[in-house]
Formats: sequence, structure tokens, C-alpha cells
Amino acid sequence: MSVVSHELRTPLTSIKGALRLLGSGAMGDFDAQAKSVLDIAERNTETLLLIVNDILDLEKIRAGKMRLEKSDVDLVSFLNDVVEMNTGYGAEFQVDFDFSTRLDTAMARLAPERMMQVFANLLSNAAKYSPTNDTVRVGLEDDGEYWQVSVTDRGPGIPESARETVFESFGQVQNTDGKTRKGTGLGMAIARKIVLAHGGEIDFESEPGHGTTFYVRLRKPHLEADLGQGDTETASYPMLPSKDL
Amino acid sequence: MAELKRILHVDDDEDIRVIANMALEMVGNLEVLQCGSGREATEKAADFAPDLFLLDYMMPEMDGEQTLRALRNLPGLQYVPVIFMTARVQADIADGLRREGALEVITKPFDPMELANQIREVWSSRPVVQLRQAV
Repeated sequence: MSVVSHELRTPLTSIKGALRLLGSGAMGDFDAQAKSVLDIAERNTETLLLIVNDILDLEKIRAGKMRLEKSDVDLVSFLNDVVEMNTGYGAEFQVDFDFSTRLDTAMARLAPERMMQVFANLLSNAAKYSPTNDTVRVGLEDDGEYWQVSVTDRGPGIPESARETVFESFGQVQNTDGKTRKGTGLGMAIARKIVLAHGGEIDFESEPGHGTTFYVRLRKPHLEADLGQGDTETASYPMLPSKDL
Repeated sequence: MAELKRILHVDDDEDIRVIANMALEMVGNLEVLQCGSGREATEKAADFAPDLFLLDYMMPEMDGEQTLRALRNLPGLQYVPVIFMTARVQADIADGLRREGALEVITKPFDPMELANQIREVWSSRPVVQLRQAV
């Protein structure tokens, strides 16, 4: 699967590049109808590329090749960055992100880029399912051995019957409003595997018709001495059953 | 610091060469020589006298690293900086190439409207080796 995905990236480079050159106007202008067709092709190429990248990520985890370059991170400033970096995406759906916490600092040891991927996924899903002009709330709490991050939307909610499939590959669920939203169908599977590879937990609570809260729980460093230890780990847990790919 | 003008681009995929050529010449206003293989590049590079090598990492026969070694053995080209392009996104490969002196490793797909800017930024921030002339 990994080889196939790499092979797909080469023709995708040409397709995406060609469409970008045409769409940018660098090769002349198109009328509105032609431009709208180009936009469709560009958007769908982007979606295909995201799927290929997601498959590569899943395969890396399965093969034990995803590196977790961990560092000491203050979750308070990290989540402020998460919200800031995803503001543009939320704006596409006319949804704001709001992060608030009573904590001043919350030190954790994590791979920032990978954990950013996890929260970008949760925030983008929350934005997609939120009513327009609504706010997605991001919270951070001290929960004993863990820091608990929450991402809450007031979307249609996830039916209990879909609980088992939310974190599966291509496990997009039909929400209680009967609609599915665009996505690669792999993001939540990747998010779960990244969180588990950090020794954390991910879960959700949902009330049909009222919204959903996803929780990510990250273990606190047990001792001060834990901070600064172990710069790089390779994520191989949990192994994916072959059916996932 | 010398301005970047001439790029030797080597990629075995003809379609990508077309896109890259437009990105670098038409959008970026750079002078570009393109070759489809490391062998072709070693035959033509010395006459072109590039400021920079832009090499695909995965190529049949001679891969990007082998091509770089062959190019650097040519007279006058031993200090030409290199940027690799790759569809492979393994961080350890990119790290290894940077350790060996690559200015940058650009992941495909690249944005043709931004490629020349990206390369110019890397070029302008590169460490310049002062070569002391023998007296």
C-alpha cells in the first residue's frame, strides 16, 4: 500500500501542478464557467492527495516507521497555536474556535507536529458539523494523571450506533441529521493511532441533536525528571489489523 | 551574494519536467536546463554551468544522490549547491540528505506558482563557503 501511495504522488504532482498553473491565470484567463470546472478539478485533486497522504501516514504507523519527535510542550500555548492555525479553516464554514482554560501552564511530552495533526482533525470535523456562525469550544483541564483536552461542537451529534466506526479507516458516519460531510475518512483513524502512540486516550460523548465533545487525554510526565527525556520514538503501537488498509 | 540565474533540473518524469519548466522559467524567470536522467545531466552540465542543481531523488539507473556525485566530479561543478525533490516523505531520508549538504528537500507535489520563490529563499539563506585562493 505504501508503494502504491508513493507511486500515486508522482502523477498527482503533474495533475496538481498543471491545474494550479491554469487556475492561477499564469497561462491566460478563462471564462467563469471554465474557471469553475478547473476549481472542481483542483479541489478533488487536493482531496485525492489528502487521502494518499493519510494512507501513507497509516501505513507508517502500521509498519512502525512513524517517528515521534517529542519535546516538552506547554499545552496552554500549544492549544492557542492550534486554534490560531485552524482559524482559516473554520472561517470556510463560518465557524469560530474558542480556547479557554483555568490553567496557566500544562506541561506534556509530545510530538508537536503529530499532535497538531490530531487537533487539526478534531477542529476541522467540529467546524464541518457545526451550524454556521457558531463557535467550537476547546478546553483544557487537569484530570489527575492526565491533561484532558476537549473539543465541543453543537452539531447534529453522532448516533450511538456509529460509536464503533468513528475511529475506523474510512469510517465516516452518517450523523443524526442524515448527512455525511466531505473528508478523507481516515483522519480520525490516524488521530486515534497518534494519541495511543503517545500513551494517551481519545473518546467522545455525543447527544444527538445537541452536539459532540471529543476528548483527548494526555498523560502528565510522572516526575519533573521525565521532561527532557527521550527525544525520538517510533510509533508502532497499536498495530493495525490488516483490514484497516 | 550572487543572484540565482541558472538551474539544472533532473527528473525522469517528462510531465513533471514540463510543469517544473513552466514554474521556473515562465513564473520564476530563471534559466533552466532539464535532463531526463543523471547520465544526460553529466553530459550537459559542464557547458551549462548551473548555479544550482535541482535533482529528483528517485530515478532509475542513477538516483539523485548518484547523479549529484557524478555532477560534483565534473570540473567547475564541485561546489554547486543542490536541492532534492522527492515524492517520498520519510523524514529520515530528508534528514540524511540535509546532513550530506542538500540546501533543501522539496516534497512533491510542489506548488508551481511558488517553486521559484521557495528555491530563491533557500538560495539566499544558504551558508556561503569562502574559498581561500592559493597564493
